[in-house]
Amino acid sequence: MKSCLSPDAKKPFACPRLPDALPFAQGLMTQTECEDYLRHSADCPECARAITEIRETLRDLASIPEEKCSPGLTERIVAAAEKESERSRSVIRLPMPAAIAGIAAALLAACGLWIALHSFNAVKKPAASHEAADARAPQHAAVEWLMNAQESDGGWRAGSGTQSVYNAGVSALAMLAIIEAADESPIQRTRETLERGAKYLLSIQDPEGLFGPRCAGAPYNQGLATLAMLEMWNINRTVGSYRMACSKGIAFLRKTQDEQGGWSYLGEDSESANTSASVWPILALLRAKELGFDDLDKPMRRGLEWLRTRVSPDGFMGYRKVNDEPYGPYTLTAAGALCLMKSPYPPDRHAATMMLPIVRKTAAEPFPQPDFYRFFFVTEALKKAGDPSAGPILANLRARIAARQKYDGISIGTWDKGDPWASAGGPVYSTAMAAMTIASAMQ
Amino acid sequence: MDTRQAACACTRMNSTCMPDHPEPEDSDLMLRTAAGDMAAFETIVRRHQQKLMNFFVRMGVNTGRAEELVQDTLLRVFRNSGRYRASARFTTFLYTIARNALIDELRRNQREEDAIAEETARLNAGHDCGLAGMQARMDVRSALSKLPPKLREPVILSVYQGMRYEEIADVLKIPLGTVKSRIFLAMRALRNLLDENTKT
Repeated sequence: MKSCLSPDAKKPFACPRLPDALPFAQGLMTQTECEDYLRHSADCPECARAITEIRETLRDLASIPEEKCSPGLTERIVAAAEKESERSRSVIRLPMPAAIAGIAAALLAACGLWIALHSFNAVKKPAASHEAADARAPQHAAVEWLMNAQESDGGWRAGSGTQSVYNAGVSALAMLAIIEAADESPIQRTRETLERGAKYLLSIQDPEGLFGPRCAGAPYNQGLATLAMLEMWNINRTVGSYRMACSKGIAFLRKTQDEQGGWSYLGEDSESANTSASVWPILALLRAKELGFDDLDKPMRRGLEWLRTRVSPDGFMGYRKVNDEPYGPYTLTAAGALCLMKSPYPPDRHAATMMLPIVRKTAAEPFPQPDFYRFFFVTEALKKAGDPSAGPILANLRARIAARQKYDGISIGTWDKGDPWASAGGPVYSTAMAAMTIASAMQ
Repeated sequence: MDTRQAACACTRMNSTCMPDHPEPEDSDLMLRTAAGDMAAFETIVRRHQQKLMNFFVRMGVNTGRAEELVQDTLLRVFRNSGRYRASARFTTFLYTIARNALIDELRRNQREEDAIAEETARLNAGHDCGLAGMQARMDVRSALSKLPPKLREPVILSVYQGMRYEEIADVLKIPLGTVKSRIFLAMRALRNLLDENTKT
């Protein structure tokens, strides 16, 4: 007699309640559901047979004995964790002698080039069988490319010419993307990459605390580099230079905050404070506060209030003032919503809730050209909001971004074209932003 | 008193003076691990290593390598303890990491079939007890190994790891309905494979 569970049974689902046989047989129904299905199966031979057969299969499955762990496994794992923890502290604390660092950098650069030239097939188009791995593959490939793109001085390059003023910002972005994926990368290599990145940021911080050159776009550099150093300090709080760099970075942000609470491009008057230049400094202050840095309530509150007073009644974020939208409102609305949602102050969070429908709509809209800056803030804002309806939207956005990643050639793992800001930040910017967006959309 | 001693003292108290004192939740242990409490991490390891071992073996990894994957997974948990949020179920966090470790393993070293073949050969090498029972178990194991990973994973997580369908959906990042239908389809396929085996 043919099993009613058999895949080639003629009418395997003649009874619409047949799938209920599974939770019933597994004991996963409530008492009421159970009684109801039991009554049904008394009159439904197909369901009755399915229950019997699933129970038989479960019994068969239970016959596989347990594999016992070998004695001492617990102790070995705990010892390895302790050792790793110790090594982590010592590796990150000890400065590498300059000569060794130089040789290591040269070797790494050579290895990086070799890997880049020989890894054409390292990342394949997602295979159908492992969905989670498929979802992570673009992030893995991006981080691999970013690690190979690190320069011998530990930094990353926005590009040549005038783009180089953003080296601090894109280096910080690369570090943040690598930190985000750290659990998925070889830990030792990741740690060394991040340490060299931190060393680079320390080397370009001036006595006043500014990371990189005094240029108009300094608020971007400053906010991002301070965030990256905060994360480095959070990873290892024993490194005094990291904490010092954070404190100095925060001090510079406070010094450049204008009277109303916003930030303008460096060198411009305070009337020019704008949302775009203010978002990263505000995020850095919020994170610093979260990590226990003191005396930040006042600048944080002023920054958030400045931001909140740029939100229109219908929830759009203005650039310099309400309804001022020279570059379009969508990216700034998502960025502003993210900051306000992270705020500890209820009026800010209330303003953010008004902005959420716009953010959700932005995420769902088709895009002819990618804008990773926008995608990042949209994703982070929706994630922060904990909006359950955002799941499918984010999954779709993630898939669309992944579809644009380069899967072959020496640029494997990058997103290097089409983004409106890639002209300033180059492929390091777009790749780091896209990788962080994908990671954020998966959580 | 260091944290480990404190934890031992607490355990002794629980077993003697305060029998109804609840075991610490995984989420609490993770928060303590993130704060550097190795005794808390040790409790997590003891609590989950055996189940992880069975997960890897039933997914087709040979026993020796499975133990290495258990270690790899739990070390990843340790490294990422700072990222764990208590709002998420620990087992979702754990099996997401375990699954990634497994996928890395399969990609890096071997095809699943090799592991199954190796394990089958090891069992075939002969032991002096319950040959018939062993043959039956091997058949079940063999049937399980013949399922495509998409069907095998949810069955193992549900039947052996005791996870709820919702949690499996989170780990596999697939809709709840898909979890149910995959397990149902897996049951159909297994029944068919086992019945065919009985006939032959």
